[in-house]
Amino acid sequence: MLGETIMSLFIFVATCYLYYEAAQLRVFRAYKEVGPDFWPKIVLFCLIVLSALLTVFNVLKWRRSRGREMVIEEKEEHLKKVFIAVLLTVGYVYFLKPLGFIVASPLFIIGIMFLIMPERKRTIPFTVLGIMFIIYIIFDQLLFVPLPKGFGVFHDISIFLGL
Amino acid sequence: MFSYWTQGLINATEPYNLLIIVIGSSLGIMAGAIPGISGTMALALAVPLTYVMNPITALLLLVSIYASSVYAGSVSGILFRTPGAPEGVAATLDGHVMAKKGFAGEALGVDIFSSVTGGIFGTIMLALIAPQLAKVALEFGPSEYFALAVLGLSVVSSLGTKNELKALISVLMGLFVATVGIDKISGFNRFTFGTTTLLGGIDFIPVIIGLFAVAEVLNRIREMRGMEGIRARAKAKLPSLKVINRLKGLLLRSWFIGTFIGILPGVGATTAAFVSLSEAVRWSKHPEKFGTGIPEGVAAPEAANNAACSGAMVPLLTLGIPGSAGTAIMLGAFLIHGLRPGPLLFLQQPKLVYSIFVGMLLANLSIIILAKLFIRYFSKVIELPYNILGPGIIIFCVVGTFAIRNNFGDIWIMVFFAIIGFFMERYGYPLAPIILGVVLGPIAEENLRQAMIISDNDPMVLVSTPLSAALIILSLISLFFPQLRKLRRRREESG
Repeated sequence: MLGETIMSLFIFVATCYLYYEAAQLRVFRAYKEVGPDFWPKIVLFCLIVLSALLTVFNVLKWRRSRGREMVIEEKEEHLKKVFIAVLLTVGYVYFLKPLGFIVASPLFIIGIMFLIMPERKRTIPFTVLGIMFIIYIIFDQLLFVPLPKGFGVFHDISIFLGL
Repeated sequence: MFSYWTQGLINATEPYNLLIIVIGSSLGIMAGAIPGISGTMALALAVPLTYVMNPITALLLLVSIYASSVYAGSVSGILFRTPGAPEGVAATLDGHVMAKKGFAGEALGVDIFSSVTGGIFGTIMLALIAPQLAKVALEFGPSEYFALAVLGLSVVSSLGTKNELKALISVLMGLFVATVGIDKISGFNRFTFGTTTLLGGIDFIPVIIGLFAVAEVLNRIREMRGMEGIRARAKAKLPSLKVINRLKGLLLRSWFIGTFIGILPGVGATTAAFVSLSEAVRWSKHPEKFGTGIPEGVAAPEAANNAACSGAMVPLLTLGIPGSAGTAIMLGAFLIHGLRPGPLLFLQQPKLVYSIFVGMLLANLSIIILAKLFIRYFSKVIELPYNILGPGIIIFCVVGTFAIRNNFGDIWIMVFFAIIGFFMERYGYPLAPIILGVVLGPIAEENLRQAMIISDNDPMVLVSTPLSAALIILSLISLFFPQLRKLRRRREESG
């Protein structure tokens, strides 16, 4: 319940800020009332009203149910895994450009595999090779999508390995 | 006309052309099913291959890819909750739920049947009354387009969600996302926050991939669900006569909706799918069942989107106006081969035109066999343990997103929406309405503003024609009818 309330409150605050940004767009009178701010303002206004309503409902529900909620230990542990998965994904995307696909991807795959099923270490090498090979064939060879090669020595490694 | 059909049949069924249709359909199914690769991409890659072909063969290849890729977007949506294309999002809502309940084969079978019959119906309509249909399309002005977009958006209250307030918030979020970038009418930057990535707007493919694919991986990790892989092997089972009989009214309606919407330039198969779904919910005796995993939720959008695909050929062939990205590429192919689509094409090249019609019919029919074969092997992927499948999906999503515009910004947008999607799912916000908003938002905004500018800011212009008024009324009914029905049921139960 607390999470739901925070979520709706977050949407409310974010849309208020975006409405303020939309209001800054009203600079060119030639379009009279239907300038670039017209539609976003309608949408954001509706969002502000609905998210405010939802926040109020959630707060009322939370007050009614306070004291009856149980904290489940398991959920916390899995949320930690999700957090790590998000960090790994963000890190992978961030380092994809400088390190290149061939260097960054195996590191990411190993990290996620360890996170999901740490006991299954034997499948790691085959999975890494399999995924890399499939992506390379489909995107680089069949679709001619230039996979990121990285910079400096990583660029040389990518070229050396055939990318 | 009969002799043209005969000539078209002879041309399309030449062994080489038949082989080309099979190859084209296969490529289209693969391109449509794999997220990040689209039918449009496959068409663009196939055009250079057609340089050495004669015009008939070239166009048979392209229409085969086009028809089958629109169908295939829902395959990965049903199996992995990751639509391969935006046209497949609507069918994913019920299709994936059916797959989770162990009815993946039935969902895929209904998908194939609906798509094939929709495509065949659309092609027959195309062949019989293309010029007349094009005249109707020309009657559509900004008010009508806006009303059509509103009709498509009105499905949000019927998408099987328990909380309509959250569904409305989701669709509004989608409408807002569609405003990011350069405003087409005034040229102003909106919500780009100084970044060049957002100048071009937010493409809906990274949004779909982030919300549906990567967020699903994160949710699976959160629940540690199905980590050993899913043992049920999905084999597409075509629906029985009993099921077909039950679906016949819905299919007929969806075919007409899809064909008609497909004719309208710039609207597309995705809109057709959602409008058809909206109408299916509105006409259903049990609208509350949509979203809980019923065949109707797959049949309605899939019949419409394939019919729309044929419908999109109407403005292309009769007026030379491409109705979608796919038909725009085909227009290019026509020009490469020295042909000029338009009213004279039917007079000067009737054999070519009727060969295209027959080719589309054969391409749609070929989906029945090719799709079943493809699904048999594609679905083995879900049997993999999740420590292999999970990272594979994420890597595929990252590279697939990058492949759209070779832009790292798109990948960041995908990651952003993956995180948004994770929290939205966790707190009960439906994801499909966001896609609805992203796809229909530009159509709604552009046409609303055009209508207002033309009428000097008179809002009554939106209901000034019988057509736009009728569509707006239908939208209001679609939006509020489920709530009124719920209220009436509660009164009956308490009274």
